[in-house]
Amino acid sequence: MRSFKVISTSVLALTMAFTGTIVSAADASPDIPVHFANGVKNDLSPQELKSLTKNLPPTATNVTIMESTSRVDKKVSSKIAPSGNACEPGYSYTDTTKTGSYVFKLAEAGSRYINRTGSNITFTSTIGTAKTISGEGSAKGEFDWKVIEAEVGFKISGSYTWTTSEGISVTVRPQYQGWIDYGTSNDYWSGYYTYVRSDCTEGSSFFLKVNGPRYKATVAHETRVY
Amino acid sequence: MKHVLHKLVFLLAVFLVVLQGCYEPGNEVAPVTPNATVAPIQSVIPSPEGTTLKELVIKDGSAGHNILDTALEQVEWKLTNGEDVRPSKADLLLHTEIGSQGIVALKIPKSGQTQYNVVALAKTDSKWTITSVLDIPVFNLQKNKQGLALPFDQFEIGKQKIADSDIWAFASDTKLVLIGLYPAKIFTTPEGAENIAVNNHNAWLTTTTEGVPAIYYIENEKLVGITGNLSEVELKKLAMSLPSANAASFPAVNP
Repeated sequence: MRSFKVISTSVLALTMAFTGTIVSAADASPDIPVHFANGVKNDLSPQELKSLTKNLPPTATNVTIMESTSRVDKKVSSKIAPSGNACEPGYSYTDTTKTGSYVFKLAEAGSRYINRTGSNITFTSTIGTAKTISGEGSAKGEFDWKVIEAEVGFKISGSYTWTTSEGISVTVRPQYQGWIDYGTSNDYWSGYYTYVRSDCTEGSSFFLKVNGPRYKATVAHETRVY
Repeated sequence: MKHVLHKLVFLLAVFLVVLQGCYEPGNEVAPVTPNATVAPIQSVIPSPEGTTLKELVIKDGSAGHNILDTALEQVEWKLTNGEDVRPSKADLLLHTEIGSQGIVALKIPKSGQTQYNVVALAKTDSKWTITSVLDIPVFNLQKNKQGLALPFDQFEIGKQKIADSDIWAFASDTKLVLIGLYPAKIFTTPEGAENIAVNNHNAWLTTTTEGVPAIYYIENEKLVGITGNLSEVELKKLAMSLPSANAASFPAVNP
């Protein structure tokens, strides 16, 4: 009986230690600060702010929002009021699901700045090439971006280009290296590109995944160097 | 129960030892090819085309009493082709020393694109330390001079805030211009400077050890300092085109 108690206690202790490690690794990242620059308005809910930062790697230290994509009036319904049996014929993006919210998409990583001195050094990081990130659609069929935008509520087909003159600063601590990732914060959607007839029945449709930038953004990173 | 545990641990230990044995180098037998010829090793100098800066390292140093030696000793570059490059005097474009603030501008050699590192230093107790670096690859060129008499038609712009000063860098493939706005109190007249007039200001024209001209003048408790690897005539023309030091758009005339 005694030996059973010893073994079960050790196993329990080991299990707790093991799961304790896993749990603390998952929750270890503190909230990464998000800074809105260039007069961009912060109108995000706490949940949306968390989406912005939750998928970033553990090296990320802060996010800067540089520019915002314009919103588009969402289409409420194809139905023609007051009758419910008549619709404006045309294409709609239907049965949609938002599969990703404010997910950072990398355009270019800046040079690495390594500080082997005893005090902080500020580096202004620029990139060597101009890269554009635009809205993307998965389907081979043609579709009108305006139809998608009326459903997702912003100019998802927009694009941002990073040029080398848009330098951002990163302050690197002693014995650390820092760098800036340049990219966009994207929303991802899936749904059906559907033809809605004038009697509100649905015609041909195809599955379509889209993603596009909500913001032009930078993510600063930092890791220890040995 | 205890015996079972001991057996498990023993088996685990044996398993680990066997596993380690499997990964020992040299366990695999290389096939022997008789009369195999070995190709001569050719040293190939990597082409700089497409080579850019991968890492900028600022190291600790001991040459703190001289601003140029400090920058040359502490800056190191690693390029995307794997080459480690140390700056030499040949890569030194220009430098400034205003009170306890200094700038050393370097051009990265062996890079496929023109790239400048504008290193800012501060002097404390007679020792210079590097405080910031403005890294400017000249790639995406702008054409709008915004009213400034810049000596080139296409250029890259960089900006760095250093303590309570602001530095703007305008860079082309061959020329680098620095325009700085500093608090006037840190300035002392450089030795051997020539008095000139710039836009009704009493200004000083001096030449650095690299043979590069620099112009300074004070306006409304601000010190304006410009320098660059240009001719004196080009630098004077640029100075004359500057707006008031208090202009919100400084150094742009027509933003």
